[in-house]
Amino acid sequence: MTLPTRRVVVLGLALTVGPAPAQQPTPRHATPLTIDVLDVGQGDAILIRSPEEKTALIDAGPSRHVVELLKARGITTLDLVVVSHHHADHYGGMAAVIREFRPRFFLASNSSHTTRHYLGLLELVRDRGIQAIGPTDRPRRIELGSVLGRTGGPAGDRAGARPADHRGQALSFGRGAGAGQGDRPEAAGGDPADGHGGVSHARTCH
Amino acid sequence: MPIRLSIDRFEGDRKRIAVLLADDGTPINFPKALLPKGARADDGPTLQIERDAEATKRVADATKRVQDDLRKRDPEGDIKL
Repeated sequence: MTLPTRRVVVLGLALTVGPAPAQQPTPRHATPLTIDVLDVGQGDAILIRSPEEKTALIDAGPSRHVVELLKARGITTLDLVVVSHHHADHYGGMAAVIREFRPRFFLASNSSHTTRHYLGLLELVRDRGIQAIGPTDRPRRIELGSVLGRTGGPAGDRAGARPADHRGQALSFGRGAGAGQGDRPEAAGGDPADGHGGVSHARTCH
Repeated sequence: MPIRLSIDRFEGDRKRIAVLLADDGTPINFPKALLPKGARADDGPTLQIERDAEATKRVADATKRVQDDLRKRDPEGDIKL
């Protein structure tokens, strides 16, 4: 997907860790949650910054150009990077991101689809000692400060319904922002029943 | 079987992309750096693409090994950043 313009969504609504009791008001933060959809041309790169200044990058576009975009936004470290699926327009800039920002966590699916280029990225993650996390049999909760994320099941895929090269990582933040299951537009979106909504709607898949 | 092509022109930043045309006019954007030395517009190169099962398997096996290595280091459970 080509994103001809950069879209920025700034969200001032509070997001809490865990469902808040219905009778208590939701606490508000001085700093809003921000989601930047970076203009990387082909593919995606979405920067999420929590009110506590925790940072996550979902996909890195096709090239190292994303590094300059992140620096221009004042990013010096990343807590989490995510590869939504194994297509180069989504991970092509990730090696440069890892070299530049050395993220704490690297999240990707275990899809068997690969290339020498993708193998090189995985080797970099291993060799740099980045903490890798992946899909498990049950959804995993990821706390990005007060922003809750949740991974989907194994490979983010439903019983092999998708071809191997489209298997990816299902990830949702709040109600809307997510790295989808490959190029699958209908896959993104959190569960409103979680009670930590507030994100209007943004997603990486297309 | 070799695919017959023609170098139609060079485009992009510093003209680094060669636009190759198949005989039916299908354009293929190709890095100039990967063309034979001295290639220029109007040349008629050929391109041969073959499946390489052994190379494919090597990459797939290597990827699985690294994925397994990474999975062993996965703390599992929920993650707090």
